[in-house]
Amino acid sequence: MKNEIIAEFSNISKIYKIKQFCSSRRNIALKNFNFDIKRGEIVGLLGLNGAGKTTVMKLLAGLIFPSSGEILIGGINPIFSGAKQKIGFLPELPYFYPYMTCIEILTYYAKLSGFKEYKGKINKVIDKVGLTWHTSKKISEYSKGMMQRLGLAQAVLHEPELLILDEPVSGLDPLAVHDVRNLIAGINKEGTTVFLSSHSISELEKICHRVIILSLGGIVKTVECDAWKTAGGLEKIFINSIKGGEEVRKR
Amino acid sequence: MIMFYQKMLAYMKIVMVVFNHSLREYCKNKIFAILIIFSLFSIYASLLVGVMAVDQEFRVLTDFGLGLMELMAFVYIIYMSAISITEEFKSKTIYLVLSRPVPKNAYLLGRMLSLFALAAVILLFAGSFQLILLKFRGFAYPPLYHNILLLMWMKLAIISSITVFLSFVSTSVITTVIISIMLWTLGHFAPETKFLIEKTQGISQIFFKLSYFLIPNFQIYNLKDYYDSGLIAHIDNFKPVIYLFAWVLATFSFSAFIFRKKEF
Repeated sequence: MKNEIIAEFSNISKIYKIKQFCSSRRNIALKNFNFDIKRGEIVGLLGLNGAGKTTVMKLLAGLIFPSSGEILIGGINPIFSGAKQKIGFLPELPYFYPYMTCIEILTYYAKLSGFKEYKGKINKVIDKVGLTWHTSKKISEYSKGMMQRLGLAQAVLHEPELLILDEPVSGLDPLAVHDVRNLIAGINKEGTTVFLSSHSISELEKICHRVIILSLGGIVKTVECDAWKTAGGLEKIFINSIKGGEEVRKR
Repeated sequence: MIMFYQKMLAYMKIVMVVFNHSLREYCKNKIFAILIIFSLFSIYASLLVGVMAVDQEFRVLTDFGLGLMELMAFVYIIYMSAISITEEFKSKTIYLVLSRPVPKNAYLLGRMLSLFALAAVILLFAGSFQLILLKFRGFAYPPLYHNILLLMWMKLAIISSITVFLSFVSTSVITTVIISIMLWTLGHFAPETKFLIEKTQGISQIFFKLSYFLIPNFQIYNLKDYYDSGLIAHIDNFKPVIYLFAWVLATFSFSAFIFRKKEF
C-alpha cells in the first residue's frame, strides 16, 4: 500500500504565454518534470522564489493545464471531477468571501465537494484547526493565521486522499507555524498523503519523508529523510544542489 | 441510463449550490440595499409627479414607476453581471471552487441563473411597492401589469447573459459595462434598424443587417408600447420566449467555451 502511486507527473512542461502589445512572450515555468507521490507519504517541494512550485501545485489541482506531458491523480487527469474528488487544495494565501462566517464557508465548500456527512464533520474540523472560538466572526475580521487555519479546514473537510498545500506556513507567526505543522503531521497519520511546497528548509525538514528540490522549472535533486539526517541537514544539500543545478543549466 | 440520471442530478445539485450562494451574495451587497432604497424613493416620487398630472395621474404613476423600475434593475443587473465571475477570478476565491469537483459550465450556469433570479427579485419587490402605491391612490390593478413585468424580466435576462459573456472577453469591468449599455440602448432601436435595412443598399445594408442580428431586439419586450398603440392583439406570445432562450443559450455556450480554456 505504501508504494502505491497516488499522483504522477510524466514529462510535464508548462509554458506561460505572456501577452504584450501586438506580440507575446514565452515563459518556461516547468520543463520535462517527472515525479511520483506515493500513498501515505509527506512530500515537500523546495525551491527559490520563481522556481515553479506554485505552477506544480496548480497543475495538480487542475487550475492550469500542462503544455505537454501527462498528470494523473489515482489514474485520472486532474481536470476531471473524479480526480478532484480525491484532492484537498490550499492555495498560497487563501481568499474567502469576507461577508461569510467560517461555518457558512465550510458548508458551501462541503456541498460543492458533494460531501454529504458535512454537518457533524464541520465542527470537528473547526475544532481541529483551532477556530472554535471564532465561528461567529465574519472572515473580514480574521487574521492571516486564522485564514490559513480556515484554508486547512476547507482542504481536509471532505476527507481527501491527497492534500496539496502551497506554502502553508508562509507569513505565519512561530506559534501558528508550530500548530500548522502538528496539524499536517496529524492528518498524515490518519492516512492522508500530503504534498506541500515551501521555501522554508527547516519546516520541510521537520515533517517531510521526502523532499524534491526544484530550480528554474526542473528537478535538481530528490532527497529522502535519511539522507539529510546523515548529511547534517537539508540546507547543505539544498544549497549544493541549487548551485550545482544552476551551473549545469548555465553550461 | 441510471448513470446518466445520477450524473445529471449531481450536476444540478452543484448548479443549485452555486445559485444559492450567488443570489445571497448579490442580495448582501451594499449597493443592492442602496439601490432598493433609491428605487422605492423614485417610485414614491412618481406618485408625486402623478398627482401633478391631474387627470393623467394613473398613467403617469404607472409609466413613470415602471420606467424607473426597469432602469434601477438594469443598473444593478449590468453591474453584477459584469463583476460576479470576474471578481472571483481577481480575488482568487475561484481557486477553492474549481479545485473541487465542480464542472466549469455548472458553475457558470449557477451564476447566470442567480443573476436572472436577482432581476426577478428586484422587479417583484419594486412592482409590489408600486402596486401598493396605486392601491393607496385608489386605482385598480393596471392592465397586463404582470405581463409587463415578465417581459421586462426577459429583457434583463438577455442583457445579463450578454454582459456575463462580455466579462469573459473584455479587458475591464468598465469596458463590459459600457458595451452592455450600448447594446441595451441600440437594442431598443431594432424597428428603426429594420427600416434602414429596407431603405439602404450595398455595404450600408449589409452593415444594418449585421447589426440587426448581432444586437438583441429589446423592442419585442416593450408590451407597454404595444398596449398604448392598440396593437396588443398582434403580439406573438411565443416569440419573446424563444428569443430569450436563443440569446441565453448562445451567450452561455460562448461563455462556457471561453471559460473551459481559461487558466487560473
